[in-house]
Amino acid sequence: MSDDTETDGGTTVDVTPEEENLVDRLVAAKDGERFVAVAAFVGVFAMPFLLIDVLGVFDTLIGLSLGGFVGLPTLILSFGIVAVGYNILLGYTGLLSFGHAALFGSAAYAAGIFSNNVVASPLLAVVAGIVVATLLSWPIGFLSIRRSGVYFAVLTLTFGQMLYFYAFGPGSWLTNGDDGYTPFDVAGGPDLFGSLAMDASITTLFRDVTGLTLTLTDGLDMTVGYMLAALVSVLAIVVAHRIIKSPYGLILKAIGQNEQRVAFVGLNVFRYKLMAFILSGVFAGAGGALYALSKAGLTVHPNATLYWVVSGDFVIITAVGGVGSLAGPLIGAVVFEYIRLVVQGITVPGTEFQIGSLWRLLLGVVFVVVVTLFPDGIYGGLSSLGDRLVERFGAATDDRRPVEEVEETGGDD
Amino acid sequence: MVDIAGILLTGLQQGAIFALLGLGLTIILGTMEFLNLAHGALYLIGAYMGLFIVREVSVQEGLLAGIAADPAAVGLGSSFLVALILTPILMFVIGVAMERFVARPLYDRTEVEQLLLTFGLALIIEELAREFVGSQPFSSYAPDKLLGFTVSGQADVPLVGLYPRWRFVVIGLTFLLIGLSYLIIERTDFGLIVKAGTRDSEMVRMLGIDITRSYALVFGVGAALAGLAGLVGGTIIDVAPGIGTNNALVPAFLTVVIGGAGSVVGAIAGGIILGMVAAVFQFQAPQWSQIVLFGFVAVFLLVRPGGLFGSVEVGE
Amino acid sequence: MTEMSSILETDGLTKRFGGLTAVDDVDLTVESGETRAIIGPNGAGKSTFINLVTGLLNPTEGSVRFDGDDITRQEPHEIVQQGVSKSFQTASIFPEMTVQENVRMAALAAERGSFRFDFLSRRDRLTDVADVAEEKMRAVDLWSDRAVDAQNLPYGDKRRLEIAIALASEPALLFMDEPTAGMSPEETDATVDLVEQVQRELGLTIVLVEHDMEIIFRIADRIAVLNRGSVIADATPDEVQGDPDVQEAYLGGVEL
Repeated sequence: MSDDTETDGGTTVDVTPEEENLVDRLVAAKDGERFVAVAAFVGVFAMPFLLIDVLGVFDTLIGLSLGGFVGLPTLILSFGIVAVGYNILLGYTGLLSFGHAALFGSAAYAAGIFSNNVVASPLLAVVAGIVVATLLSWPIGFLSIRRSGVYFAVLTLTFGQMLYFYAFGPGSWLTNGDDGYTPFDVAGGPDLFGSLAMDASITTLFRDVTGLTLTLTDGLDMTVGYMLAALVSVLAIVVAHRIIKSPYGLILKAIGQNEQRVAFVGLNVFRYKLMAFILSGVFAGAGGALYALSKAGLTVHPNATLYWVVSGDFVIITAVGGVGSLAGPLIGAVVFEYIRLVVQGITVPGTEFQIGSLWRLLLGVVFVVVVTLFPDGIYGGLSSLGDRLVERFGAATDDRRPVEEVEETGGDD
Repeated sequence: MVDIAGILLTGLQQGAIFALLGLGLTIILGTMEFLNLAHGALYLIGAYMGLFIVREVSVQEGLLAGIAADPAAVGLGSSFLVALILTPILMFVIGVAMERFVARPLYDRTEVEQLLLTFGLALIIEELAREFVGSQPFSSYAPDKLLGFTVSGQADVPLVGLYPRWRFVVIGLTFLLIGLSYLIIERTDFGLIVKAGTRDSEMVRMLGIDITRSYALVFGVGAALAGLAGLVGGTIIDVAPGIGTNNALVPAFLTVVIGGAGSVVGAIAGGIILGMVAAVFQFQAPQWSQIVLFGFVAVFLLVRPGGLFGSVEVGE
Repeated sequence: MTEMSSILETDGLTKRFGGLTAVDDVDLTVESGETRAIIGPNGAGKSTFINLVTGLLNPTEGSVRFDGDDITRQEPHEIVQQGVSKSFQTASIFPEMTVQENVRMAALAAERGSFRFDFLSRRDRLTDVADVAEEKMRAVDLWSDRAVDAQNLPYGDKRRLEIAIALASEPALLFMDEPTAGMSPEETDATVDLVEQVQRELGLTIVLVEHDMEIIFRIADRIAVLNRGSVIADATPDEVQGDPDVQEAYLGGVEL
């Protein structure tokens, strides 16, 4: 066997140049940072089209209202970003937190309060949200990580609930309590850089600049707000990918598999766990701030942001989409938000039966089924299917025992 | 003076229910090291069982409203005593089934997976309840008479003043149940397994002989205890799908945290302490009550991770 | 009085668990570069002793000095960074990571310390880490299996991986807790050869806990015998063999 090896962040592909074919090269390439950035970019900008227009076709064709509504992609991104960070904590480091609503919600409120009291800049509000969530995740993480397993989960839950009840009651001077808080309560809506209205769509912008009318489908006619969210998401995905490809990716994964051994190779497990928690807080902050942005002029309510059920939602999104991978949580966010917001309105064609409130039950069933059958989530399931196809069509031979996929397992995507 | 007594009584009453919940959770935790986030859902089922046995209620939402012969009077309208007998039996069966189909496949899986899957199950059960009877709360079903005695209204108790009669009954009843459970655990073979388990679950597993039967028993009893807690709880609070998590699961885990995982005495002590602390803060600073309560538990978890009497190493 | 070349010294090391004294006033020295063996019947306190030295347990009394520094109350990861490594009795590996990743974990820690904020730097650029890892994998003859998931290795290979991980920490002192347990005779020979070779090439000090007397007599310079937590003999293999206390402790057990 030739010793001609390429190393790629810890993977070795033992191939001789003549044997490599397109499939193998694609497999190796998909770990690359440029590929991830491009794929993310394409993905977030194609998503509205796919969800609203492509699925909306079914509405006209067979009367099945499968299409998403215009605000759906933004919500998917908000929750998806949180899940990507949450996955670093759960999928890699193996820490199950039931308190991330605290970080998500506090970022949402922080972004909103910042926008109303300091400056109504969407970009700065996102920064404010991230800063607050990150700062909050330090003490919560520091205290909670002192215990592990279910006690860690209970600790994060208690801190989350403390924050929830504070926002609802004693803290309502700040948060408006049960009445909800209105972020970006500015005349004419928030705008970017002082001039670009967040709710301006491509067509309106085009018209303002050229005076011409462009016809675009609902899905393609994105708002400035969505495009901002999309760019933040792409950045978040690239950063997450970087983290996974850094020493942290290996170390956190190792902690999740054998914590004691990590200590016994000389690494400070507590500090790495804390870093994982704080990093997940950064992502939660970004997602929370984007959520607040999407609620500009509307209300942010503790029940939708700080309540432990929201923490549970993050768990579901990450577990269903796929722990231990980059794309998994995003897929989970799409599935989750779709079921939550679109499936409700679906009426089975030919009947009067509307799915309505059954959606949560459906979600629970999907969650249990996926986690039981596919411990690596939907993405994990698709990924192993893909692995098998690569084995079949890729030319790289591997006669080591046992037949082993050369990609890093657990999803390093 | 009156306030303090009232707080004490309320604390005792709430604490006793918490103790029942914690007891059920801790024996399962201790014997099988199984983390059951669906424990609150068992409380929920018990509460609804009680509702439909004791009363005939008007169901306006959900499937039941659609298929019931007379939606305005769904239920047996029987007595509390009947519920007291039926509920634990039915819950025991449910518990055994749960052990067989939910817990057993999960014993060898990681802690996180156990938490995730039982969490999912809890969600499903809560949603099923919502689907069947809707999310409208049903008012609590404390009976007016029990064994011929009037138990409704308020009693004028010396040193305390007016205090609801039924709450005294609850205190008495729950302590009776706790005492019974304690006796069973101390005096019977079943109890030996539980005690051995809470001290060394490895050992119990290695003892072989019909260990699966013992697990089923433990789970059944745990479920019965949770269901009884729900039955009693349903006489005090309104019954709605959300009470499974808010009023049951969280306090159950907090009780076990304070008392120590796997400890029977700990669950009882932990429940009472939790109930007392909650009652104190509810009266003193209602706005802050929840916050301080959770803060209290957080501090406890950090300072005494094993709980007061903990013996099982879960997440240390 | 301490000799300057003592790389490890315990002084009155004691550990009590409630009423049970697992390690009782143990004074032990290990000279730099030697191969020290610790033997004793089951329950003698060997594992507890190692756990005390490597930081997993805090002693009730006594102290441990490594290379002159007091490491008694240090955390395990700090002690590893000082230069003490341990290979576990049951192969303590990272099952869902490749052999290469397993060994690189230890090399990472050795090269980059116990903690860094480098979550944005690419680890495939760390050539020094890769080199150290490759060196150790070749040393235990697992280089050709480097892309295999650790959990898919046969048991003997897992044990070798365990040793590679311990070596990749680049220790000065290596504890080996029954390294040949469960190995075939060929694997045992290979492991012993490896230990000797590694010690020669790297100047490693080795403390070995073993039940296999043949191995001990082959490579140990000095043997400490523990029984019920105390040291009952501490001398060269020949002297220990003739010691009546030792023979009594092993009554009915292993023939020395």
